Amino acid sequence: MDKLSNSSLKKHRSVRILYLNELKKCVNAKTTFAVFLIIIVGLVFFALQLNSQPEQVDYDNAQIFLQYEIDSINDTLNDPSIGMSNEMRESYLNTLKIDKYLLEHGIAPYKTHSITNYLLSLNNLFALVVMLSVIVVSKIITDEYKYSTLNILITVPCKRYKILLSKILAMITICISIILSLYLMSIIVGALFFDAGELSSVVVTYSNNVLHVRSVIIESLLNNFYNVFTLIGCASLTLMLSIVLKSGIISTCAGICVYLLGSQLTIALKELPWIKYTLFANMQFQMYVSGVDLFDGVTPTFSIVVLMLYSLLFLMISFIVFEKRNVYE
Amino acid sequence: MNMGNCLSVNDLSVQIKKKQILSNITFNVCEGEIVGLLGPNGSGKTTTIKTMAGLIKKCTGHIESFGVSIDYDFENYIRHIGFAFDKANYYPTESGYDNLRFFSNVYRKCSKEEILQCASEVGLNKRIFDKVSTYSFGMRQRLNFAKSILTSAKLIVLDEPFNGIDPAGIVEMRELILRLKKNNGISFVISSHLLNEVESVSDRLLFYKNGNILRDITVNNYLSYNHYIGIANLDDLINTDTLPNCESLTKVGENTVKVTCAENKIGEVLSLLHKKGYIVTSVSSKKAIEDLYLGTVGGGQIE
Repeated sequence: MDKLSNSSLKKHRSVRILYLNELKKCVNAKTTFAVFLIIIVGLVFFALQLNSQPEQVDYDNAQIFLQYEIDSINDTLNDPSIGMSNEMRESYLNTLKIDKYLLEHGIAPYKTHSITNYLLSLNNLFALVVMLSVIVVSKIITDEYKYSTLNILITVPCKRYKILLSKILAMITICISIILSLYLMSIIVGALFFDAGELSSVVVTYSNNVLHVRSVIIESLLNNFYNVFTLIGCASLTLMLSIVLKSGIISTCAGICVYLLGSQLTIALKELPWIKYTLFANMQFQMYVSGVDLFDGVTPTFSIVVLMLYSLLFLMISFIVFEKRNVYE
Repeated sequence: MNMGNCLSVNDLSVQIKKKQILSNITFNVCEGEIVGLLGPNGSGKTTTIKTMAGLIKKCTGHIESFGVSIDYDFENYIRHIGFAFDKANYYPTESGYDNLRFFSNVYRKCSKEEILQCASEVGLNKRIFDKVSTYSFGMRQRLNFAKSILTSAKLIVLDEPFNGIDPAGIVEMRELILRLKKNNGISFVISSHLLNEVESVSDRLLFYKNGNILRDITVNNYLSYNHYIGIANLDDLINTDTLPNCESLTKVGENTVKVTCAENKIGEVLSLLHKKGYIVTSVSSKKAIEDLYLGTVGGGQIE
């Protein structure tokens, strides 16, 4: 048994070494340092922006505030003169259910100037994170072409698929690390700008006809957990294009565009029956958090499965092209 | 594959985008041997090297290194070959030390002392912790050699190693190649346009043209020299009948003839000239590589 595990370890030693080398290159790269710096600046800027907004919740009279909001929503929903889309109506109904739950259980809604609001609004910053992450991922391959290092890398005693596998593992590690760093840094920055004591409070959300009551830390972690899959989807697309086209600019732009334009495209084309199976439609995890179900029968698990299937497809194409391609440079 | 061969290329053909780049290339490299690849641009030297490195896929043929086929066990095939291409191949933002550690660790775990020892062997110890982006081309070539020594390469394949190196660097490079051959028993395959440099270190020369090997010669046995002989009483009657030992004889000046013959024949030629009453005033010898090259591959037109 020991012999078997030893031989397996030896067999995969080259992948492990190449993987560690990739990570070391990423850690040493100025781009990575810049990415983390920009994320910190973004987090601080976002906290300052949130602080500059007027407080919407009268926290001293929370119960009165909730009752007032419930009455207002009921009036809006019952007013036939106000035309509203199904999504808007659904959103109002969800807020109504949450407000009623908060009122019944004596839970105060979170303030605008609070760490809860800060952590749960961070999805606005996620576009920046996607942008920066795909830049780092595209460099994993395009730098090898740029510096002609692929020549020497392919001539190490390691099959091509192992070289690419190490790069893909590095890519996944980078995506998870960036999201984890975003999560931890957002808690630290949030604690510096807002009352850290609120981290122990609970958040009520409504999605898929179920009310969820979770702590702020868990709710924020869940949002970031979903974002990992979105990021891996974008990064896999970027990696595939950087291998096929050998162009850092095109692959980076494609990775960013699929996320940025995806939400607009999803809303514009939501009537099409196949749209819920597209890559970009399943990157909109915010809809699960806000409780707006754009498509029937679409759950976070469904989106995660679709994103993983797309990522697998992109990575399979990457393996095939990387294995077959002649390297002239 | 014969015993003692570290590389064997048989009937290698490569086609890229429906264009035949290499046709039936066959050659062996013996252990401790230096083989030079010569030929005009586009003749197939670099394609041969890149196919040997697995960078370009071959159409037909067999390539083996130490009895291991490139098709069946690539990892063991390439384990004992070090490649150095004409472009810079190391991570420029990392130090020479980190690059060496990066690549050598894939082969085996190397200690810091081992890496520094190899850097010292190739004369790179003073700059080993500097970033590769600050290295000259010659220093990057040294890094290639250090990597090859560190990874216990038994064959080093160099594509245009003398390009962009100053004359002093070329001399150092040549000495390094010969030292590695002598001390470490490393074989080399060297492709270059600098005929005299390749010829000065090679045991064998392969002349390429249009994807074919036109000639495979062993330098010491067959390569002739051009001897420029100054004769005080030179007359118009001098010709190959006068000197039957030489391959060719041309009058190149009022008192000078160019005699082409093997290096060990020049004594006989001078003795014969003396016997026939000619007064030899000077002799200078040059290897006839350029003439041989032009005679074999022509003027370098790519067909």
